[in-house]
Amino acid sequence: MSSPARLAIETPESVRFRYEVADVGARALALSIDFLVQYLVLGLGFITYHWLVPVLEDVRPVLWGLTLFGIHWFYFVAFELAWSGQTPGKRAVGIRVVRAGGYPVTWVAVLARNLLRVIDSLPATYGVALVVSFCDRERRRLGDVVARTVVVRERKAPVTWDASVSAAPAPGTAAATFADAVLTLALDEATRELAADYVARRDALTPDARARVRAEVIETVLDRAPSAESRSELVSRLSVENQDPFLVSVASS
Amino acid sequence: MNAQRFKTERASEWRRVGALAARAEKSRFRGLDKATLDELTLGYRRMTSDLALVQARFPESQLGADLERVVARLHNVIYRGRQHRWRDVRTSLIAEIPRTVRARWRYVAVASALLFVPALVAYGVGLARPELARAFMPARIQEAAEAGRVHTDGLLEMMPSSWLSSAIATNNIAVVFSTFALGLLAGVGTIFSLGFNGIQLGLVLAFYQDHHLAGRMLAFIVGHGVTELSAICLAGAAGLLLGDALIAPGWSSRGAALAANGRDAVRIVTGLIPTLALAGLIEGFVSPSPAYPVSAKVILGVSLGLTLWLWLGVGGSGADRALGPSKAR
Repeated sequence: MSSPARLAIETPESVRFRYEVADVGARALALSIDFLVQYLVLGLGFITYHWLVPVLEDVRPVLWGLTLFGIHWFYFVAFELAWSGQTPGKRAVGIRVVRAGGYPVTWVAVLARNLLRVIDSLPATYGVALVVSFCDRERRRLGDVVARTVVVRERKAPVTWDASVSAAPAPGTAAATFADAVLTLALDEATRELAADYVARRDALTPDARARVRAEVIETVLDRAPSAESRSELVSRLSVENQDPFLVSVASS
Repeated sequence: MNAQRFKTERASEWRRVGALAARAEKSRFRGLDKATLDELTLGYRRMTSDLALVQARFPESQLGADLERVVARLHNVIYRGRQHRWRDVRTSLIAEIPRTVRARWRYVAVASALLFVPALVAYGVGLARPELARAFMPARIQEAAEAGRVHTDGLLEMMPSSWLSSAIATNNIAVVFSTFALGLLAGVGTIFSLGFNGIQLGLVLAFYQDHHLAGRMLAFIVGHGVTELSAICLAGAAGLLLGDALIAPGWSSRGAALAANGRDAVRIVTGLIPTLALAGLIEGFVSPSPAYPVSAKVILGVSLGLTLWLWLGVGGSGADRALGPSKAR
């Protein structure tokens, strides 16, 4: 499991924090959703203008032409300006455009990155963007390079100290102690990284996938436990805290 | 210290600061008094030190990941710079675009040469070898010219002015956007686009001159042509800015050069949107209409072109004080 690309930011207070850079898949999904929205709007517009025939025969082609033009060139510009770096597709996927340094986008940046879609979308299906962003550490396409922007993942999961969460049996607590347990045991670097990576990303996973990945991670960690004692300690702590049927079964085996 | 205890200890303040930030973000800082703002910024600073502490003591912990996320959001809410407002668009139109064009006048000059030199050459070739110019014209235009008509004569019988205007304006804006974007192909795309437009222009003029219709063609073009040709030159300059950053980034990295030149290029392109919308209106309503005398079209076209270059030439040169941040409005 390779950890996702990060965009490190150092605040004026000299504190470092990191954004998770949106991967190419997430961006492609967002783009597909945006295309779908565009086609929907165009379809609705077409039907509406069709109805308007007897009323506005002269104006109809003008309206249609302006709609096509507006959606083609300004769909992304308008949304990214209005929603500070998000379009319907990006919002649905949970990603956002920010300027390098983590600041909100400016209108110059939004125009630059979106007018350059002409080049990024060459020769078809964003081929240039695909190649360029696979090569770039921060997964930028050419438009992002010129505009100095990065698309980052925006995780909406509630933080563990929010009232609504802490009232529940706190899913974060178990994971934190899981990570603590892994860190306190003398495990090798790769295993610790694996556990930390899982803890960092688990909020982004669906419950199904999370359960699956979690089981795999735990199994791997247990496999690599240096001694029988540390293994049983890890299992007992986790199984007691989580009431996890999988772990209970491992512990009893 | 234990992560859990630290969290319990600080959670109430984190919650309060988070709620304040959400409020500030939603209201865009309007209606927040000084005490609230102080609480927000101080709370943010304390949270950054909390984050630093958690990062050092409990690396890779869930608490650290959560704090990191919240601090990132607060950072964006607090250090967001000036909001983009309509006033920025005005400042940009009045001052920034002309300043940018003047600062980058060399690119405008090169782009103009890349448009007009091929145009002149094509015009000369077209006059010397009329059959060549004819070969480049579509059959529709050839037939009209044989019958002694300029192909733009019956334009208004084919479609109403409103339709024509919006179609022309949107098409021209799309051409300008593409000419700019094509600069990213190391400038080759822009150079091709400029040269192609120039050759077309030269050949069309030579073709009509050969048919003794050049006067009528020019009468059609003059109303909007000065503005549109200027726009193509400026779009070319924007494209060349990108290409130049790729080919000769100088002392900075290619990325940094692209970002710096790209910002200026986008400014120039933005100024062309209203310019081309206006030119489109003229090309749809005035140019094809026989209701306006040629003299009126000449005056309109020339004065519009002069206004454009006057704006680009002196706009924003003395406006620093009036528009600067010192005069907080």
